[in-house]
Amino acid sequence: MVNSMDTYLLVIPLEQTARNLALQFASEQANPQKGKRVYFNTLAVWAVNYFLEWMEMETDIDGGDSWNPARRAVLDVGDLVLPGIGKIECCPVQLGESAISLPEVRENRIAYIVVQFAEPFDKVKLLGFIPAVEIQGETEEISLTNLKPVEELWDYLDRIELAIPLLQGEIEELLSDLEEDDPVQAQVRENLQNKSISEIVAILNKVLHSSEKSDWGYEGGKALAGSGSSSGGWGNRDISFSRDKSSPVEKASDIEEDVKAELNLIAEDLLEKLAEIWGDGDDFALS
Amino acid sequence: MTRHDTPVEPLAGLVPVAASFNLLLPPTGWELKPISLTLLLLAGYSAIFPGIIELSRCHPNVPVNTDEQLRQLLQLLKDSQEGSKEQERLKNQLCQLIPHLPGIRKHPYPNIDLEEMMQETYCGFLKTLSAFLRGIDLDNLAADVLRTRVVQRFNKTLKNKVYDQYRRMQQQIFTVSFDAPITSNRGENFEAPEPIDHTTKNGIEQLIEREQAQNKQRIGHKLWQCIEEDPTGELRNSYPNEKIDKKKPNNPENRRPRPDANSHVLALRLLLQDPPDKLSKIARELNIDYQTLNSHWKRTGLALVKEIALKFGYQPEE
Repeated sequence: MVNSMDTYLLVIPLEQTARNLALQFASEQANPQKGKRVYFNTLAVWAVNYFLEWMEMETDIDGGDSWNPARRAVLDVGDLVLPGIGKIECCPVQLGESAISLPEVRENRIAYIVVQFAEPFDKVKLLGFIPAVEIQGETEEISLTNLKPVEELWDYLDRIELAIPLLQGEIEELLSDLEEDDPVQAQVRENLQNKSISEIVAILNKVLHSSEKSDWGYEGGKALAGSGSSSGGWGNRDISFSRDKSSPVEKASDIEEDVKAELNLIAEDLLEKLAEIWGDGDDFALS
Repeated sequence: MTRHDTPVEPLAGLVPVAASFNLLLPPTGWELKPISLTLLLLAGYSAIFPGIIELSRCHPNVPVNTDEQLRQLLQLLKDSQEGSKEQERLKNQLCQLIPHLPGIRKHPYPNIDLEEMMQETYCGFLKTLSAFLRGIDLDNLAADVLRTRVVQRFNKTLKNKVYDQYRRMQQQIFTVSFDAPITSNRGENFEAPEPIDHTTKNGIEQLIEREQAQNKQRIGHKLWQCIEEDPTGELRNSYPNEKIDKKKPNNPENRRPRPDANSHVLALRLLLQDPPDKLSKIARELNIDYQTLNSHWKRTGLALVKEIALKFGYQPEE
């Protein structure tokens, strides 16, 4: 992790149009407190959208919950849709705050980007971001010292965007090969279908960065199974996948082991393909 | 570039090649048949690109279809061997073609040497070209769509270089008004009566209070009222079941309902309260397993709230 405080912070000027829009959204809320949250959420999304549009990223600001009158009225959201990739959650913080509270709604988020406000509110600073896969399920706050610099956001999104078409085809092929009446394969199918393609890409990207190649299968399989990197419990690393069982009735634990083994193989195969297209080992970054 | 009725003489070196494939049209003896480019490419005469590009520079109305050239060049690149001389040659041709593609950004940026940026952009663009090509179906993508994607990718890479350059110089990109993206127009007609200083915290709070007071039909107010009252009881009647004995299997005999942790309580404390409670705090207070509560809230509670919001969103304005 890089402390973003030590790096270049991008300043985005807030246009009058944006402030008017934020005020309009805030005026629809139940009370002034909620109005204020919506005001800053709106400006945070607007600023990130401004930057990403300038960076030639395709965005759909109207497609998010934060731009939906009813949803923003009940949910604390600052989501920005990146078509075909997922959503970025834009989290406002005020100068002096040292952490952000993660929102209740986290589905389809690929990253959280932190936007700092300070008086006079005519501009904001993009402090940095954190990939959603790096956040454990129970995490409710993120310290600002854990943020990655904004310049890495581009490479992160680019890697996901480049890998989606490849993985889309691979996963579709895998799913079509999995038999529904086989308990092991049915479980593997469920594991894969429970995640979006961009989520799988992000998960494997993390594994690729944090593991030795010899551990890709084990770590990747574990991540695809949905257990966080801090939770162990995968048992024997050297399980070989086999559908043939001597007993006609497989025990639940046997099925579980077979599912893990199958996911290990899938993860290893996908990681090798991803490493090839990302050119990992070389200096991939466009910057 | 557009097609033009007036034929232009091709480069001298091209004529004998075209003649050998019977691609020249009779009246002039040097005008090429429309299919020529494809056939020449298929025959491996991809080296004509620099010539055609050069020609188009000299004659702006030359009938050059850059979209089709681009597609064919990318196909050759995709098929070429990684790191081969042939691939290098094709990459050079691509770099010569790119500036001629409509939509390529060539705006100057303050304090930035655009020529240098462009050179760096070519390197960055080529570095990830094979990854980019793997995600593209060259056979089935329309030529203009393909060109748009290439142009977008090139422009993205250029912007990344420009951003990086400003970062290195510790200069802000947006301190001056240039190259502002097109943003949503909504809100432009919303004029708050002045004067309240909207650049201070107090000013913003005053503005919001004033606007809310004037807005009698606030969707947020009505929606919160609906959630607070829960007239149909759908939120109150939605609650988790927890395991009685955590070590035993999760069957009906080993589960008990927890109506005290219902979705209504959670919605009030997590969404409507300011500041909202943390789910972990509620779980501790209610003495319920965090995972059980979290999974109920994420799968059922939030879904119900979103459903209510969705229904509300479709209600006509009173």
